[in-house]
Amino acid sequence: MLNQTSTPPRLSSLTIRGSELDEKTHQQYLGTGIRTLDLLLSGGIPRGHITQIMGPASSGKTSLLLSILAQATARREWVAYIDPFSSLNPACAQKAGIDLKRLLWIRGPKKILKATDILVGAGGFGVVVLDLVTQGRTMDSRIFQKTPSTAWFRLKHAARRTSTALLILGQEINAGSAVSRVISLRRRKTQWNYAADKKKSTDPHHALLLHGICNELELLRGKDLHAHATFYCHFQL
Amino acid sequence: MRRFIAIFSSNLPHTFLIAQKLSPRIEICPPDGLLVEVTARSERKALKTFFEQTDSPQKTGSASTRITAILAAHTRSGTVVPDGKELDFLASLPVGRLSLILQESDSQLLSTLLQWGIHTLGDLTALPEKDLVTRLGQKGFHLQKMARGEDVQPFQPYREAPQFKESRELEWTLDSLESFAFILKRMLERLCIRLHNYGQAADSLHLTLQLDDHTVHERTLRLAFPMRHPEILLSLLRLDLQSHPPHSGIVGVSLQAIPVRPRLIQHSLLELSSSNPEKLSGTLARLTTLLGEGNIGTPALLDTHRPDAICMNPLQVEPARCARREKSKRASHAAKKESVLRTQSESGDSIPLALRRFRPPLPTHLSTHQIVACSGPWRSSGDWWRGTAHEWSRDEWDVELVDGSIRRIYWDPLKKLWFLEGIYD
Repeated sequence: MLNQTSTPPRLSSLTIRGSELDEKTHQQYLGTGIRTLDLLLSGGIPRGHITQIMGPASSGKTSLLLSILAQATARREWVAYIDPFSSLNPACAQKAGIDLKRLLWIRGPKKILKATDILVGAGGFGVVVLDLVTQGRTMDSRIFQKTPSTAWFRLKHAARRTSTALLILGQEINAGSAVSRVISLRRRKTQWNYAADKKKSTDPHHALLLHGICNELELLRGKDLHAHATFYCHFQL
Repeated sequence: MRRFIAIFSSNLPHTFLIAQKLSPRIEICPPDGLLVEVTARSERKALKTFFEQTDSPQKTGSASTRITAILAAHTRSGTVVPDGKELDFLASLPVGRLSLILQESDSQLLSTLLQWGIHTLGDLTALPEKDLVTRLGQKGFHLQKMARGEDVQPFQPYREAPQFKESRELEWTLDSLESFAFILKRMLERLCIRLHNYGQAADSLHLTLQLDDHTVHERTLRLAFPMRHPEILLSLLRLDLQSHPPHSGIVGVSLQAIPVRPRLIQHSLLELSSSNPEKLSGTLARLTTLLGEGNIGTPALLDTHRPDAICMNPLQVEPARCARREKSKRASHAAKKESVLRTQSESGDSIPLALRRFRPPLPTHLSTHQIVACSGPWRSSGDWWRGTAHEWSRDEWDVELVDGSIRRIYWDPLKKLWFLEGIYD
């Protein structure tokens, strides 16, 4: 006999949204090295998708990116870094834990979208990074605004086919709606080796030391919208 | 029945050419000897040919075993030892003759034998085998076999090193890469079949094009991974020729592969499937064609304190992890690294701070009201011993500006300028 008192299952629990179904077929994630962010992202950066990491200067986006690449190379994956301004610091990359022998570094501002297309379409790379941070330099940022959205969707489909995580680093959203996840970062506090309120005017400058930056991140697109987390970037000699 | 002719000549290359006409099985006895294997029926004819066609002084000997033939040649040139008469021939020879065959390290044995009163090879063969082995070991056993005229080492015929080279002269001049690719494809197919037959793979390809203006266009293609797939090699050559085209029509082509042992990669069940090395080579070649050489590779840090001392190396696919020991070592290293990274992240979600560099550093000027906090100076210098051109010196500062950015700037006392090195991000 059926239990008449049992509540019927809710319709929302039985149905799966199309976007979620898509997620189920790509149950592969890449750890970020930050536990709280991995929890927010249900395991990490999704493979086969475009993820954008954005934020102003000194917001920790490059540190977060290097941490993700370190996780990938620790799993013996190949990673590629497309760097139009040649701003990658290999010494920092090595300190972050990246195996430099597994890092393909592409420098130069020309034909970066074509190079991204080749790398993502070829497969075999766990992560491909497209660094679009201009930092006030002469590169015409409008070039990416002029890029048709079909180009980004082409990259998205190529990434899905090859299960490559395409990470775009920028100061604003560059790839439009082709981006599956957007992680926005901002600097909350800079930590020196003294507390600001205890600073004495007589302290010499060489007695101070940059200790690190406390950053805050927010998910602007994807699951758990507007979820927040904090992490710390410590200075390392 | 097979016979061996030993020839010792001062003009060995010429003698070798004659020997090649008589027999395909020739062993080289350094420094000036040859051993030619012939049939009993052709033996007399072969000896006659050597005498007639060689002008330089030479020693020849013939026997059914190689050792007997060598000793016969050194005893009296032209000696032919009949089959079954080896013991009789060798019995009267002094023991010291074996030094022609023995290595220098074993020559001491002969002096031992002379101290024992063994002067001829006949005396040596007469010794009881068991007692000789007891006293001299395995070397004594081999020495007695040689004294009896028996070969100790197997016959090692000379083989020419395989040439992985294809050449072709064209009947008409080719200007189009498409039509040239058709010819290249055929050449690569033949080359790859030969590489496969010898169990080798191409480590690099050397392409030489004869042009119709009587010049030569040469290209060397170094592969990231040894391979022998004609389709992939063709696409790599095409990409290379697209970026470095010949300036004139092609009238001749020569293609040479430098062979190496192919590398095998054992994929892990626990890792993501990495890229096919051949495919990865193709991808790198396409990127190199697109972006130019020097803009693509893996970064490497130089062993110096000079800031931003780096170099670019070509991406190399790792060789096979053949040795189990190395495999476990690398696996444990990777696991250790991963655990360190995990620990780093789990201990308060802290990661190392990265610096985005400006290359080259930008000259900058900051006023004090722009700076919120700063630390420094951190003074460093170096390479002054290499001259003023290489000398560097700097006073480094970390500054936090009112716009929120944290920058690394430095004062260059040599140039008397402030530079912006990078932004912490």
